Formats: sequence, structure tokens, C-alpha cells
Amino acid sequence: MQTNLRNWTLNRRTVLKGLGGVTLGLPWMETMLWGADKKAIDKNPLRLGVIYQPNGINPYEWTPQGTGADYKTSKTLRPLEAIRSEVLILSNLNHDLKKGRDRPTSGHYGGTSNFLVGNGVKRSMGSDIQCGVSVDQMAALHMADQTLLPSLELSTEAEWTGVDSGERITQLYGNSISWLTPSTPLARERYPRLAFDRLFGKTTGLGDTRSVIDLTLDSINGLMKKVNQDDRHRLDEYLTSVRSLEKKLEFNEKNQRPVSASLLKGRIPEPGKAKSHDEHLSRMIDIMTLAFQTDRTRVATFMMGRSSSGIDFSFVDKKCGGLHGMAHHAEIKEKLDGYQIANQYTVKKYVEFLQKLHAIKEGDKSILDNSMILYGNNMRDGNSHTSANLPILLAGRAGGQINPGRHIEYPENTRLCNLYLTMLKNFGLNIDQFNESTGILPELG
Amino acid sequence: MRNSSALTRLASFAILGLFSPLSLHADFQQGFDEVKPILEKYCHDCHDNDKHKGGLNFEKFKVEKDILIHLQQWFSVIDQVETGVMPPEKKKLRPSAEEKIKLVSWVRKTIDEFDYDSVKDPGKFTLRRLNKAEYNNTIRDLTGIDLKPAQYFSGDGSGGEGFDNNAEGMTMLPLMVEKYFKAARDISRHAQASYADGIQFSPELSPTHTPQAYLVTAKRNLTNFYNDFFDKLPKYSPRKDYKPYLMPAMKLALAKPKASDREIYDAAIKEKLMPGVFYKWYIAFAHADEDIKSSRWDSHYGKWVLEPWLALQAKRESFTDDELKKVHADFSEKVRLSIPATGMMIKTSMEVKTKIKENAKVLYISVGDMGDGHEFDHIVLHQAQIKLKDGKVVNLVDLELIEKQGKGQIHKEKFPDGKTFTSSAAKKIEHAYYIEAPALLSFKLPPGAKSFTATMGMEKSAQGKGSVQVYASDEKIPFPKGKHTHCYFYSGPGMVSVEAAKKWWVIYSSLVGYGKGAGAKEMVNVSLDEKNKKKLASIHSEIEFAKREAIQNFFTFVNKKGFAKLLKTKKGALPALADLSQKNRAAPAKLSEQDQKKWTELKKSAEAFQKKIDDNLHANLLTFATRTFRRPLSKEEAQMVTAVYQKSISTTDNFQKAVQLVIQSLLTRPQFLFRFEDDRPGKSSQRISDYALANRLSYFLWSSMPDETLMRLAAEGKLQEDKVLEAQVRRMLKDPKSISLAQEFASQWLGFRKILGEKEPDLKLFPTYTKELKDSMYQEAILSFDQLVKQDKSVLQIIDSKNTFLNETLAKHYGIAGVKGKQMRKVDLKNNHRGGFLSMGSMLVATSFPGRTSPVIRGQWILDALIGGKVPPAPDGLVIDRAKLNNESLSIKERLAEHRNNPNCSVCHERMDPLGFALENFDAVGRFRSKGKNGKPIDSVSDLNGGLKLQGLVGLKQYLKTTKQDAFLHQMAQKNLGFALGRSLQYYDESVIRASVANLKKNDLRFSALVLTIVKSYPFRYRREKGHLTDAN
Repeated sequence: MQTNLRNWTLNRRTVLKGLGGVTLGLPWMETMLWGADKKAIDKNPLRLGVIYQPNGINPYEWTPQGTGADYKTSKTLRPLEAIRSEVLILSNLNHDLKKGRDRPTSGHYGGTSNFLVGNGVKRSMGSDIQCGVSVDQMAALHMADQTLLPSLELSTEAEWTGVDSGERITQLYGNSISWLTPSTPLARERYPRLAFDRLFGKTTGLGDTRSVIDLTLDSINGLMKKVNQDDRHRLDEYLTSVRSLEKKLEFNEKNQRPVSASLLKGRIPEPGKAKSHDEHLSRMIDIMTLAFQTDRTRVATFMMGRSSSGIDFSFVDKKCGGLHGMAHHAEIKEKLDGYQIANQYTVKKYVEFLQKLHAIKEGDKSILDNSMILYGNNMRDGNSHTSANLPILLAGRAGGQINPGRHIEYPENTRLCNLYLTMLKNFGLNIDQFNESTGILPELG
Repeated sequence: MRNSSALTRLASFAILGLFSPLSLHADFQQGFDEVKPILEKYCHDCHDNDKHKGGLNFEKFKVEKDILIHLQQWFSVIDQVETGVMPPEKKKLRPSAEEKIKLVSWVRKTIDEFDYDSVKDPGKFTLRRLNKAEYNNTIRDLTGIDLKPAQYFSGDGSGGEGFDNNAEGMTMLPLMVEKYFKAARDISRHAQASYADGIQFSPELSPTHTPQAYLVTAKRNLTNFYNDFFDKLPKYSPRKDYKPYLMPAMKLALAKPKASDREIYDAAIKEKLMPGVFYKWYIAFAHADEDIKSSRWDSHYGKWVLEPWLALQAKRESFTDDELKKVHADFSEKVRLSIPATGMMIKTSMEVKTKIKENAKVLYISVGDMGDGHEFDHIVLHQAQIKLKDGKVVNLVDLELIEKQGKGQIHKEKFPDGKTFTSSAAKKIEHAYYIEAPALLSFKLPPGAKSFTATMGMEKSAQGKGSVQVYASDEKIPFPKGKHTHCYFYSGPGMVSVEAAKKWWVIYSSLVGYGKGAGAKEMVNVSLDEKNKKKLASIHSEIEFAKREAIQNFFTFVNKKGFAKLLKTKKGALPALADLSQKNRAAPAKLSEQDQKKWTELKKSAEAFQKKIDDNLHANLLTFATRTFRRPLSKEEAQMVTAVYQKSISTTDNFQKAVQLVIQSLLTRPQFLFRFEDDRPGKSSQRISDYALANRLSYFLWSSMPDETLMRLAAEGKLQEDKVLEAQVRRMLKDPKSISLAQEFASQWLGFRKILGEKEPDLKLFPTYTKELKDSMYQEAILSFDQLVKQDKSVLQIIDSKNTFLNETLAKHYGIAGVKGKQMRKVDLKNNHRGGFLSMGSMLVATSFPGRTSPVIRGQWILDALIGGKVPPAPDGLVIDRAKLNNESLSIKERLAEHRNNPNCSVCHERMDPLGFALENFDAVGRFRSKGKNGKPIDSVSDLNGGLKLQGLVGLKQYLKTTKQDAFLHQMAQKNLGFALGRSLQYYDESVIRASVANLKKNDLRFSALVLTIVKSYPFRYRREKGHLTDAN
């Protein structure tokens, strides 16, 4: 007790600082903003971004005609024309589709969790979920401690927790594409303002949060000794998470370079829900752009919808309805048309992100040049839930390692993990295997 | 056999042996010996000690219990053997149908007949954090405000029996921790420490006011409290309505000069007079004395009224009735004449000031004599200045006097006798005018004049005798005559007369119509009910409390310089201290030794006062911490709270902020975020503590923290008594908070929660499916289940009910007439198209595809959710005839014909599809229909295998209520137990499930029988410390 308190005083991370004056009264979002370490930016770091779209695509309007640089674009991919030279269209990639009934690799839920992993999920009702470490988290681990956040996970919809009794599998699997460990899917932020504050708000400020962290850590440590092994594991999870918050704070303190106010002007989202889905997507894309630009993180994944999402797309076109409803098109032309329009819209949002990154210069390159931005869907045809030949796009040049602007058609059933392995190697990881990969994916460079 | 096997299978999955409670170990061994060769022959290839593919090793099963421990594995064995998945097709050696049946029925028998009561194991109560709903509800009950902070949290896990309170699925991630910290901070901003009521929360953010503002607010609350009463009083006109009060007031004043408030109040009520007015008149008579007379307020009043009254009062013992009547008559007649004008205040010192409008040319200053003659009414107007826009200052004495009205003299910078002005404070008096009332002066304003300020004082010889009114304005004002309204008056700094004046004021102000004329706080106090008494006490406490800050502020900012002034006040030291700290501090004064001593004493008593407040606050924080942790604090925890508070308070001048910080730190503690149960290591299983039981109860039935009653019973050690426990459960089920059983338990068990997120019909096909309709559907399900809980009905109401809850939107959707408006209300159903959850819109939407119904999903839902039948997921790599499936000219039955015709499908689908077909009269958004999309009548008759036919909804309900009643009860008990324990159920939990079913049956299937069985059960009331070996994982 006494010791703890003394520490509290001595390490100067005390209540005193915060309580003295105005700090305590300031709102969550502060006027003072902390920025990136200049040195880090000079290195032109690589970034990895993922834009995920659930529920498949209209399979008849996706794949372009011809391969190489001269391919003739498809209806759905038409928005790519605006930035054609920077994007690769990759056909015939998918995960292992036959891992057995207890290890689904596709479908709404398993397919979503498995999308960035390629290991299948355990057919679990929720108590013992399992998948594998996802490609983004491998990259994030590699970049750990270099940035404020190891990675940024964004979404637009609330999580589902129930069981899909048809598939006899927990719907938890549909909530996140990012897996920190094989049993820990990462929670995602769906409120633009909260996502923004995580990056640029003095969320944790220098004031009271700091001392509250200390007090919390003290109290966890105090309890650790008193609980049994199982419970200690739970507390340890909490301890680790509180420490990561502390780490974030410390990082903040060391990197006290303010982001210029003009950069953020007009880009601070309103609190609460976005006014529309379109605005929601634009806000999140902008936040990822800012995060990369200011080097708050180098890994960001964004789920434009969760698995089985029913988001209403009628704002795009009157032919569109709820996404899940359109996906079950039953081969009806009207539905397929609406479905295609919705698919094309999401590609357009992806292009919006690419163009933003392309417009920001880092030396003689753009951020996009120093990035790998994946677009993907864990299904091809949403009606039959097929998961072969997934719709996959990859933009950016990975600092010169990738040569975009082409349509590459791989042999059927080429492992998507081969792409992930290649991306991770480009990212600087010294590995030869990523989950079910069989080798690197050729022809990218 | 084969034909009926699906039904048998279904039953045994659902009802683990309701047939025979006997444990027949000998039978087990015999059976085991018979099936062992089958296992060895077909399975040991891959599943023995050497190779245990898929983690399955048949050689490790030795005794009965081994099988039960690995129940899930054996369910899977049954599943895979029956569906022919195992042994795999590529194996040449495959069991015969007889061998399969032998193996499977032996496993079933073993599971059915095991003596579950023989295993005493409460299961693993893993430490769990609060889930979102529990967090929200706990904050609601902890703070009294429904902030719903968890709406910004990430989703929870789920598992076990499918609930999001399942401990195993509750992970903790950095993003969530950030949110916990933010929520703690946000919540703490609503907190305010209160002296009387402890830690209080308000829906608005608590103001972080300065200490001064806090005191002002606290005092304003007091004024408002009384005004609330005063405002309700009938109208009273001081000039017209006073007469009935005089005689009773005089009589009481003569009889009881020191009557208590209660006596005064009672007398007023007896005379049917307004107590407030009567009180004032009583005081006016009873407290009248020479002092007041000397105040010279009003010569009329003094001469006509007061003098006769005082004379009468003097011979209190011996006056005659006639004398009283005469005084009374005098009073009645003359008092009105002497009642002064309204709107006046006394000031002991006075500033005269006025803003000056742009381009104003003339400044008017009036000095009135109050209409009481102008002897001694001489003032000195000093420090009289005009401020200009550019900041410059012009003295009044330098302005041109345009006009002077009035007969009195005026002089610049001196008295009429030529002496210069001095002041007692040795302050230099300059830029001053000597003015005799009544007078009206007009001065020529300089250009750019912005404001006028001056201080007025009495000429020395007039002190205590004169009374004047001074008024300044840039607009023309009349010559002062009599008394003015809305204008200060002044009586010089002489203490005696000022005091007397104040006394007069206190006594008569209300009588003359100032303020709330008909009210008197004293009379309000007497008549308060308990609730308001408490409220008043709390306001007073708050003022005390607020003074703490003022005092602290005083010691921080007021030093000895202000002390001289403080010592001159005759008030109690503490209020003086508090008041002083709000005022401008006076010029420095050197303290004498004696004053120094007084200072020290004052400081001491102030510190004692502070300590009293601190102790109170500290105690309140400890109480709050106890509630936050939902159990008594350990010594160490209490010390920590204390230490954090002391640390915080010593570093801020704002204790509210310090308190908020403590709250913030409490809300991020594991003790709040997790549900801790006290471990008492050493024993393998032990009864949980009373507090742990209180928590288990409240999180089971309320999804929230225990309330005061539960905590009190826990503290008294009574909660474990069966009678008390039962009474509490019944109370809790009746409490509004038990709606959480509908919101958290039923919505997840039955799955209707899915319509809030997962299940969205195709809006193009179903444009009437609006948000309002969806919300109404959800409410229908919630209210129906809540009705079952609150009224303790038969649980079969879930399957069938004669009423439901509708509003206009939903009734229209259902085709039910006569329901108007948005309000959900109970509606008795007139036909058999609805009733029970099977036919609720929410359930029907939750079990459909976006564009069409799915008898498969519906059938599977009935099987899985209602009667506990499990079917394995469809095998991978199915080739589906999509063209046929999507052919809308066919009936859904025809489209799904493959399910019956292909034996690979029928093995499962024959159990699901027929149940779903029975609901075909309801479309994908739950509307009743007689014809399908193809225009043909709906065929909702289904053939269950075994030759049973279900006639649509009615038939299905009948089937579930009778044939499947046991299965349903078992399933509901299992789900409720899973929810109650928040963990995956284990085989030994079957004991409680069976007891629940038995008790339900003994009690007309009332819901409370189920809950009571669970609450009194071994796993609910015990916990184990070390992992038993009895669990599979």
C-alpha cells in the first residue's frame, strides 16, 4: 500500500499534474495534438491497409477481360480506371476450401474471420473460438513500438454475438478480420469520432488518466496474488491491456510534435453515428489517410460492413436494397443489377482512399507508392456463398517492390495466403510461410 | 426402427433420461463390453492410444464417468456414426446398421441413465467482466442515471449456452480498456459530492464551479426551495388583507411572547389564516421594542402604532380588553397609512452607480429624504467619478452643475462650516460633494461618458439619524418626494440604528409586500412532510459543504490582511469566514497580539469544520466504493480509497474534482469491471459468500448489481436462508428490473434479438418492414416474456398464449383490427393465427432469409432453441440445384423435395423441415398468408416421421405443448441455467436441469419454479477453487 502510493508520487505521473489547473476540466478531445516522430517519417515507412467488404459480389460483372496491362475493365471495376496504373486485379486466389466440417474456411462467419488468416476457424459456439494470427497483425507486430498504435481496426457496424444455428457456429466470427492471437479477434471501432480521438485526441492526456492507470495497475497487481490460476489469466489480460494504454501514453509523451491544425481542419468527425453510410465510409477512409500521413500507425484494416451485413444501399441507386438481401440474388436480374451497383460503389470508395494516399507526397513518392492497400471480400457469389476465386485488388507499390496496373490471372485455386506471404515479405518480415501458403505469389513485381 | 430413429434420437438429445433415475453401473459395464468390439473393429484404427485423430481416443474411456466427462465428444460420435460421416467412406471396413444402432443406443443409454446427482461439482466460475448490458445496468443502478456508456463499447463474446454473459468468451482487449477508461472519466463528470446524500449523479455534467459559485448555488437552492412553497400560496395583498390577522396576532403576542413556530402555526390554522402572514404579524407584535421605535423608520408608524402597542405590551399582565380593542382599532385604521412603499433595501455602505448611454448629455442625481422629514439627511458623495470610453476619468466636482432643485445646501469638497471631509478609516476623502436632502442635481456630462460611480456617506452629526435615498441616472428623474421604489436608502454607519433598521426590516418587510409576502420560512419548516424535510436538510448540508471550499479558499487567498475586517463582524466565525472569502478583501491591517490569537483560534475552528466535512465526504466515498465493488471493502481497499482521496484533495482547491478522480479510479478497477467472488482457498468446493450470492442473484435476474435490500440481507447473513432467498427471488422477479430476463435471456435464447441487427428482410420486397415495425416486433417479444416473468405464468405461454402485445403498426401488419396508436398494449387474440413466440413477427423474421421463408431455418430453430435437438451443420461441398431452389412457381415444399428424397439430406432434414413447414402460413416478415407467391394455397400440413401430421401453427403448438413438453421444459431449464451460471454447462449440471423440470411440473409450470430451483441449486450456491478433473476441457 504505502509503497504503491509512494511510487505514485515519485514517478511524477501523478494526479497532481492533472488536478492543478485546467487539465482536468478539458474535454476528451484536446486542443493540443501530438504528432509523429519526424525521423520515422523520413524513413518513408511502408504501410499496409485493408478494405474489406462482406457478402460477396455479383460474379458476372467483376473479372475484367484479358490480362496484363491492357485488360478491358469490367462494369464493377470501372471506378479503378481513375487510378488504373496503381492497382492490381488478382484473379483465382482463395483459401483452402476443404479443411473439413469442423474447420470452416468460408461462409459468412468462418469466411470473415479467415479472410486475412487462411487457417480456417474452429466450429465453435463461442466459448472456444480459434482461427490464427491475421496478416495485418503479423505486420503490426513487426512494427510494434514504432508508432502510436500498432494497428488500427475500423468498422461500420455493431458486433453480433449470437449463434448461427444453421451453420452451428458463433456469429462472433463475423465481427472481425483481425486476429491478434489465434484465439483473440480484435475489437473494432465503429464511431468515426472515437477512432479519430484515439489517434489525435489527447485521449489519455497528461492529466488524470495517467494517475488512474497507475492506480488501476496497482489494484490489479494487488488482486493477482489473491485469485486462482484461471482468474489470474483474466486479470492478466486486463493488465496487459491497461499496459498497452500506458504504452500509448508514453509514446505520446515522447513524440510531442503537434500535427498542424490546418491538416485536421474540417476533418474532425462529429460525435456519434455518421449521418449516412457514405459519410461513414468517407470519414473512416479519411481517418486512415490521416493515420498513415502522420504515421500514427502503419497498419489499418477497415470492414465496410460486418459479415452478413444488411446495410441498405438504396442511397446509391434505387435498384439497390439491403446488402444481404441483394447478395441472395437468386439469379434474378433485378437483384443482380442492384448487387452490382452496390459492389461498384464499394470499389469507388476504395478508389477514394487510394486517391487520397496518392495525392500525399513523401519525398518524390506518394504514400500510396509506399503502401500495399488490399481490397477484398471473403465470398465471390453471395447467393451461393462460394469462396473460390475471391475478388481481390491490391494497390500501391510497396516502395517499388510491386508493379501495379495489371490484371493477373493465376491458376485456379491459388492460395490467397501466398499473396499474404508476399505482402509480409515486402513489408520486411523474414518469413517463408504464412499459414496455408505454398510459396510466394509470382508476377507482382 | 430406422424409420422412427430420428424421433428417438431427437428425444434423447433433448431429454437426458427422464425415464429412469436409477444408476445401473452393472448394466453399463455389460453394455460397454458389448460395444467395445465394435469400437475396436471400426474405430481404433485412428482413435486409440497411439493415434488419436481429432483428439479422440477410445481407449481412454474406462468407466461410466469418463463418457460423461467427454459428453460433447460422444455426442459427436453419435452424430457422425448416424450420418455415416464416420468411419470415413474410404475405409473398407464399415459397421452394419445393427452395429451402429447398438453403439449409438448404448451411448444414449449411458448418458440417460447416469446418476447425475452423484457428482457434486459446482463447475468453474471463471472470473468474468461485466458485459455491455451488465455494465450499462450496473452504472444505472450505481449512479441513478441511465447513461448507457457501454453503447460505445465493442461487442461481447458469447458461448456456452449461447449467451453473451458467458465467462469463457469474455476477452479483454486494448481498445476496450481505452473505452473503459473513457467511460469512467465520462461517468465521473456527472458526479457531485454531497454532504447530506453522499455521492450524487445528475444527467447533466456536474458544473466544475469555483468555490464561491458553489456556495452561491447552494444558497440559491435554499431560496428556491422556499420559493417553491411560497409560489403556491394564495394571493395576499398587504394593503388590503391584513386586518383579520391583527387581533389574533396581538392576542398570541401578549399571551405567548416567545411562542414556538409550531404554536404560531397551529394558531394560524385554528383561525383559518395563512400561517406565513400570521407569523409575520405575530413577530411584528411580539418583537416590537424601543429599538425599533428608535430606528425612526417611520414616524407615523412609531407614533400611531408602535407607541400604543408597546404601552399595552408593557402591562402584559394587566391590560384590559378595552385597551386591547382600542390599540387594535388604531392599528387597523392606521397601519395601512404607515406601510411604506415597496422595493427597498438597506445598505450599510452604499455605492451609487449608473451606466451612461452614448450621447447622454446630462447626469441627474437625486437625494431624497424618504418622506420622513429631512432633519439629519445630509450626505457626502465622494469618489464621485465619470468614466469615459477611452478609460479616462473625470471627477464629478469638475463637471458643470447645470441645475439644482431643492432648498438644502450643497458644497464642493467641504462641509457648510468650511471644514474638510475626513473619514474614520483615515482614508482621504476627496472629489466630494456635501448635499442636503431633498435635492435634484443636474450635471453636464463630458463627451464619451460611459459610467458614473460614487460612494455616499452621512455627515458625521447625522449618523444613525438620517435616512436618505440616492439615485443617479442619465435620464431625467423627478424631484424626490416621499419614498421611491427600487432605490436604496441609507442610514449612516452608526451601528445601533443600522441594527435596528435591519430588525425593522426583518419584521415588517414582508408585511409591506416585499418579496414573497404571504410566506414565512418558519411556517414552511413546521409544515414539511418527511420527504421535504429530508430535502431541506440536504440543502442545508450542502451549504455547509460548500463553505468548506469557501474556507479553504479563504485560507488560500485571504491572509491576515483581511482578518481585521473579519474580526469586526459579529457573526459566528465560520459563516463569517465563508462570507468573507466571497467578498473583496479590505486593505491590509496590522494585527494586534490579541487579534493574532483570535486569528489562530478562528483558523483552528475552521480547520475542525473542514475536517468534519472531509470525514463525511470520505465516509461517503467509502460507501460509494462499497457499492461500486458490490461487496464490503477489504481493509486494504478502504485504505486505498482514502489515500487516493487525500492525495487528490490535498492538491486541488476543488474537492468535487478530487471526488471525481476517485470515482474514475474506482470505475477502472477490476473490482468494478469484473465480478469477483471471495476465494477462501483450501477447500475444493465451498458455499459462496452472502455477497457473492447477492451478486449472482442480481446478475442473473436483473443483469445488474444487487440493490440495498440484497446487500443488507447479505450483511446480516440471512440471504443463504432458503426462506429469505425464496422471498428475495420472488421480489426480484416482480421488480421492473427483471425485464432484463426478457432483454438478455429470452432475446438470446429464442433468438429474436437478431432482428435488431443480423436479420434484415429484403426491403425492396418488403417495403412495409419499417424501423417502427421492427421495434414494435421486438417490443412484442420483450413484453410477452416480461409478462410471463412478472405474472409468474406457465412457461408453456412461450409456445402458446391467448394474448400478445401490439400497437397499431404491428396490429395492422398482423391483420388485427381495433388497435390504435403507437403505444404497445396487451391484446386478447380472437383467432388462432397468433399467440406464443412461434407466430411472433420477430421470431418469423429472425428465422427467414431476406427474401423468402425458410422452413429449414424455422424447423431448425424449433428443434434447436425450443426442444434441444441438435443437427450437425450441412456437409461441405454440397451440389445444390439452385435453379430448382429459386423457382418461385413451385411451393417451398416442392423446392425442398431433395431434402426428403436424398438420404444424405433426409437424415437431418426430416427432423427440421416438417417443423418449419408448419409455419408456412407466415411470410418472411411474419404476415399471415393463405396463398404462396405462386398463387397456390399454402400447404402447412407437415408429416413428421412416424406418421404424425402437424396441421399448421395450431398443430405444431399442440405437438410442442404435449408430445414435446418434456423436451421443451428440459431445454428451457438448460438455457436458463446456462444463463444463470454464465458458463458452458457440463454433464453434471444435468442434475439441476432435471430437478428444474420436476419442480416446474410440481408448480403448474410456473416460471418461478424454474428460477427457484436454479437459485437454490448446488452450482449456483457453491464454487470450487481448483479445477476439477471432471470437465472435459
